[in-house]
Amino acid sequence: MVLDIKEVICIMCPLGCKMKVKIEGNKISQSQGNKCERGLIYAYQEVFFAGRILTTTVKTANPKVPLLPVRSDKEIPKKRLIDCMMEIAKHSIGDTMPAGQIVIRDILHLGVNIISTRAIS
Amino acid sequence: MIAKEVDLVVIGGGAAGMAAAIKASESGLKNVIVLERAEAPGGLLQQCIHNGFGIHYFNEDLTGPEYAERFIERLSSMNIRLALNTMVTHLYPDRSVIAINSDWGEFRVLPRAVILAMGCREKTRPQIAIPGTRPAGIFTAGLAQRLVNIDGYLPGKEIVILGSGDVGMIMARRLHLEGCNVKAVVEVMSYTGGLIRNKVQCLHDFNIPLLLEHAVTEIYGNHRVRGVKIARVDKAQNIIINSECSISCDCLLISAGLIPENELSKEAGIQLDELTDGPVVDEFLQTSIDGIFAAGNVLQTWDLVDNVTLDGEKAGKNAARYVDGELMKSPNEIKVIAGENIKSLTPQKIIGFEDIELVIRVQQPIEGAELIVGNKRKRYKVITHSEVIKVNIKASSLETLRKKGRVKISCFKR
Repeated sequence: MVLDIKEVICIMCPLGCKMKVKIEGNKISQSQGNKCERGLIYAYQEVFFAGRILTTTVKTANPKVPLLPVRSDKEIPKKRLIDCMMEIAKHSIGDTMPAGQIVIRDILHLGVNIISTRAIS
Repeated sequence: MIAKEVDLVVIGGGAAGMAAAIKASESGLKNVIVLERAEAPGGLLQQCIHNGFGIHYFNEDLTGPEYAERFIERLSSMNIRLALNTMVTHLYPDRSVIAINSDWGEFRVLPRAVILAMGCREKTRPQIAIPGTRPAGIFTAGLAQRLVNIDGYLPGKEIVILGSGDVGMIMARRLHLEGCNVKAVVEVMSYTGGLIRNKVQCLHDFNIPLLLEHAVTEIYGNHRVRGVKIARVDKAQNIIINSECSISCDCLLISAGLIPENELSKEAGIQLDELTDGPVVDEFLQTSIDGIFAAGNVLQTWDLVDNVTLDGEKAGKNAARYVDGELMKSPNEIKVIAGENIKSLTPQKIIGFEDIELVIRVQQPIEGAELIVGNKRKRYKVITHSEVIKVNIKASSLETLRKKGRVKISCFKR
């Protein structure tokens, strides 16, 4: 059984509890510092499934709108965010694009699409 | 000069202005015009490409452009005129507005009501008085955000950010993701200026150093920024001697707070509040001039765009009621007074007979706080400086307050 202690700052409310959680296998066996139960739920998510929505831009061929803002349609594992940025940098689009359109499908086989967040016409 | 007679003119087509125009139109105003300086509506939202918008208002996690688009769509589906590339140059006490654009030239608008929704500006280097040379490479965080997200330029490669407000922290992450070396976020207070979520997701996620209780004391470089000198500060924010050290960098971003943009309000003679830097308003968001309302960041710097939208809607609804002659006013107003640990509050006066929503911001975060509103006490697990607090006063308790003529708001540790 793997034993590990991690520090997590809860973002569920403005208190921002600094927590220490003990990890045993795929469970949190003990927690310290959280002032309510929501902290535990957050810490579990943060320890085992830490992911973030990635937002950035993609180059366009439209001189009036040189960048298209994009986002991931699901969370990306935190450790792969920079890899995704490197991949997105290789892409560019034409001079028009509707909003909510897939720009990069299944980026780095993570099961996540990169979609446009505005229209360019 | 062309003169246009309208029911309502909204100055500014950002989050507050769009919400105000939509609500006023829904409340029955037929002839509404929005005057917007930029070439597209949406204001600051267009450059805020990150997510976190709309969680309260739409119950969805949207990016800035997505949030703006929802309102742009509604605005354009309604009978509201949107004048883009239009600069308002004057606002007079009789509510008349002078503006200029390339379609109509200089023109006058004669409205029955005005809503101020001009938003805010960032504090710049002179306003926080950092000594040193004046090289290239010093930007406000919001300008850098525009350069990176809209225009496609990086402001530098080695970055120091002064101020840990939300824009500063969001730019730290953004520049890190774009390959810059963000060397430090320097904050004079003993806690971050912005939301806890941004501290974790923008700084901790990428191991960006946060230097609390530090100040930038000098900027080096002749043509281009070469570095900054930083120093620790004590509790009174005085620089601690012999604590100075230098950080080399080619760019300094300043995220030192926002100031409501009230040049037009001043010209019209609208009374401004020292605490908010925005107009003094009553609970209808009406300024010291009858029929001129204010909403959003021109009134006070808000925490979340969701609140800016709600504020805009409130001004829009009340402007419509004003035009219809429905705003009931008491001859005796109640002054709302800021007491202990209150940074700002609106409205500053209560004139009517309806339920009131007070919007309060504290100076310092307090864990285990008690908020005192007149003779009522309310307990909170925590109250922070980075989020506004909304408190209601029931219409039924207004009569007692009106006899006193004032209600004082304070916040203490229990």
